[in-house]
Amino acid sequence: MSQANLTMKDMFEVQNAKDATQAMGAAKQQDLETSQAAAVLKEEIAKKSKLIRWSAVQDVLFEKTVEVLDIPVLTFLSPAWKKYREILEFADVEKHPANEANLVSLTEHTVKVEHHPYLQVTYRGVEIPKAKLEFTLTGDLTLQGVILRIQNGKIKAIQGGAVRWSGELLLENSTVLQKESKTYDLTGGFELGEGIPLRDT
Amino acid sequence: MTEHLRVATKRHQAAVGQLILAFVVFQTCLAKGQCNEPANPKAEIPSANLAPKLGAGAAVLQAHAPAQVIMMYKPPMTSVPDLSNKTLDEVKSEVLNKLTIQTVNNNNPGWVVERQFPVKYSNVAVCSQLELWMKMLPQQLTIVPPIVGVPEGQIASLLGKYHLKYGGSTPKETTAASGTIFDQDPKPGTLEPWGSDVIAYKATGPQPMGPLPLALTADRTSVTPGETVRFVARLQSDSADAQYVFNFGDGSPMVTRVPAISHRFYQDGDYEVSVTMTLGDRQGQSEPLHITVHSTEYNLAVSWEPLHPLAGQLVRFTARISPDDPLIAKSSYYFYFGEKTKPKPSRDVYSRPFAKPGTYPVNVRVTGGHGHTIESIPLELVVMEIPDWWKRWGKYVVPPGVVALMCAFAGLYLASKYLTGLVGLRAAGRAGVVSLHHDGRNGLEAAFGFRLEQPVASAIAEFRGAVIRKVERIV
Repeated sequence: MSQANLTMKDMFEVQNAKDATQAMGAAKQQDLETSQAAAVLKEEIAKKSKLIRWSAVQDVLFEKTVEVLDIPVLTFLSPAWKKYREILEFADVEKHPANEANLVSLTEHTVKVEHHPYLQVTYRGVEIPKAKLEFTLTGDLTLQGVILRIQNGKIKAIQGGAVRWSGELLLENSTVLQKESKTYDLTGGFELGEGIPLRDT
Repeated sequence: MTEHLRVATKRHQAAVGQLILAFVVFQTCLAKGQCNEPANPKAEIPSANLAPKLGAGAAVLQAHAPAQVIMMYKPPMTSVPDLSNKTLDEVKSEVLNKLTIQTVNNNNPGWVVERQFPVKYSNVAVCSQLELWMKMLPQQLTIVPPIVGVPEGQIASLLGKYHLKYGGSTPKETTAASGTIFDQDPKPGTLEPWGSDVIAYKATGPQPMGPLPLALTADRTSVTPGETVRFVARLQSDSADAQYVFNFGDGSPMVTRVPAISHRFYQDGDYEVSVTMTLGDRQGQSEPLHITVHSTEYNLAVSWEPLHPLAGQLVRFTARISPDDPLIAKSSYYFYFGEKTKPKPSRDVYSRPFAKPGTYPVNVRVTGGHGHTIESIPLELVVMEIPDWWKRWGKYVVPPGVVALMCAFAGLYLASKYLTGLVGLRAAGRAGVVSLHHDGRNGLEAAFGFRLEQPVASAIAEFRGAVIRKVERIV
């Protein structure tokens, strides 16, 4: 299976709020609703407007939860790879001139991910301090047979390999989503346009 | 001496009394101012000479005291004239110096005397009071002369002699020679007031007569061979003298003087039956009536809803054939409503409105699979006029009604949204301004913002051994 722009949504196999609610199940939905931030939000909404029902807010929350996962897998991979000297070596223009392109095959490895996105609720543009839903995305991306095309100090493409996810999404301390994903084939797929610089400027 | 003086004094007192009486009579005559008594030599003491004579009397009293004078006033008499039918002015001139007009009852300009008192020809004293009762001048009547046969140019002058006016001629259909005056109104010899109009009737030729309107009806239009159909020819006004010729389409015309006749059709087929009527020199012919003769008798019934539609209302007509025959039922139906043109074919249900109120004939025809035309019994549809109140107020009621309905729907929609929580408030512009109603999610998100923050992720790659397995230079 080839995926051009894999995101964490793919890894958790949720594309919309409906998928998210199905994936969560009733118990986890309950957890989401009883979280401190959700309770604050519920209270604030009740204060501001009696016309808005909680069920409508809930839908928004599920959708926003899915948006939390709308983050490319590459967001986690490139910072991880750039920490290795073996790979950074290809950023040296003396050793590897700009017109030189190399296909670099990486051995099987794991990228440990820890990410803390949050959803800040505002009312008329003003933040509601306590209404901040803090998520934690944690887990491992296992990569096998990854081939990077590096040129001019930039990762221009991921030309092969496979990736799979094992991890969870938590709201505060409660697991909202948990997934052992299937393996996604990266063969023929990840053209990165201008490329991702190996060295931060 | 004393006795002589007393007698003289008494005589003097009598003379003074008579002098006063004469003065009073004289004053009364002067006060009237209308009637002056003529001089009357037979009067014993003419009033005009009364004063000098009284003066002379006084002198006599002085000179010859014992003389006695007796004076009496006797007014002259006059005959009351006949004042009937005379105007007040005429009366005044006639009674001048004879009578005094005391009272005029019902005095109106132009009116004449109806009654008088004293009555005519009675003898009364000159300057007696006259009372009159007036009346309206009676119309003057004249006898209408005959004008028939008089050349039209001379009629006006002829009537003028009788104080009548010529009102012109009016054409009237008659057998008289065209253009001649054959009658008049009022008729000759009639008493009419002066100034009345007399109209002449001038003869015109007879108007061309159109055909007589004739309708033919039958008690049934679809029969089996050998059955009898009763036909009735209807003329607008019944006439016993009319002669009818029924043509049944099977080669056996029938001449009769009765408008209703029965006929038996023996052969299977379609027949066009018509009737021709002759009344004097006029004729009339009916529209042909289609009779279907078939071994199976089909009846085509037509009904409609609503039964009494209003002008402009859609009417749904339904034709039903019995006995049921799927083959015929699928045929084309023709709904006739009195139009001369053949209607478009339709199914057994047909809808149309009728713009104008009135009575419309309803007739349906269908061609059966066997080739015969089956026709419904002619019926009449009454389309009623739209009620006045609707005409008058409908245009005012409908638009507000539509608006009210729309508002009601909008209200229900908003209420439903409110109940399901899909109506929200949206913050707009400056603080405190909230505009209704932003639907559902949009409303929610307009008021409440959900800002997703994605801070830098932490990612650590863990290799079990070597990081790079192979490097392949491709350029």
